[in-house]
Amino acid sequence: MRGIQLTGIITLTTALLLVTACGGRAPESATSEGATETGAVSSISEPAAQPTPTPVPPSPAPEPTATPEMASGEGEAAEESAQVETEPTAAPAEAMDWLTVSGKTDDGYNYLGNPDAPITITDFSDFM
Amino acid sequence: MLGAEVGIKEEYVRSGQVRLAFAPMLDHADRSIQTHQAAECAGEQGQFWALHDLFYAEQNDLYGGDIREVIKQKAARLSLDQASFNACIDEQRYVDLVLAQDQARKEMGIRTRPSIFVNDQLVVGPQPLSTFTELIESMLDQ
Repeated sequence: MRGIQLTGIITLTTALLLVTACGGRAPESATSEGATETGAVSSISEPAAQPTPTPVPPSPAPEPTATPEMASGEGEAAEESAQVETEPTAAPAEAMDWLTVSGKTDDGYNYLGNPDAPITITDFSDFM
Repeated sequence: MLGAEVGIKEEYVRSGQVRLAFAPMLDHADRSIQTHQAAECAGEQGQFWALHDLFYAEQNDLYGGDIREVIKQKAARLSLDQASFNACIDEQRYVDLVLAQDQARKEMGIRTRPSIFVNDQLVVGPQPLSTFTELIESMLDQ
């Protein structure tokens, strides 16, 4: 009798232990983080140890530096370093010749150039 | 501004760093009125700066003869609808405008020719390109 009881107790205890170890939603796992992220700290698949991981994985891109993406191949890039880097994409503002743009200022004067230029030169003068 | 203007255009206007504006000073009576309003007439057809540059390049011609005829002859060398331009001159379409602008500059106390504002900074009298370059660069650095 006693043996049976003992066995039973042991079995029960073992079962309990197993359940505790494997069960994710545990109050035990939540305590350490305070889980601000998603209310559900489910992470079922991951056992007790550290509940941290899943919710917000760090952004996959490790600070892209543009250059690695631009280069079609490192070997080529190395060779081209001695030459002019012309590969890339659209040439930005250099393509615009602002000498082709004209208009009127708010004061009604004729202007030439970029209407959004940081500097305006206003020439008060006569043609003679 | 004259000589410095060419350099400013190439170094700063073309790249979009500087916008260049021109304001009339009518210091030569009717000849000034006619030339400035002619530039406005050319501006109707996108040729303000072309006529502006031509007037400065051939400035001496503006002092003699019938000024309206001189103007029409010069404008004939530009890409203009000559009939429209001449009509504008004959109508004196922009006389009131240039007179008003001239009056405004007098009220601002601008008397010396040329008077050039680089943003709010005033530069008086003809200056070499270097004067403007230094001023522009210091402003761009800010």
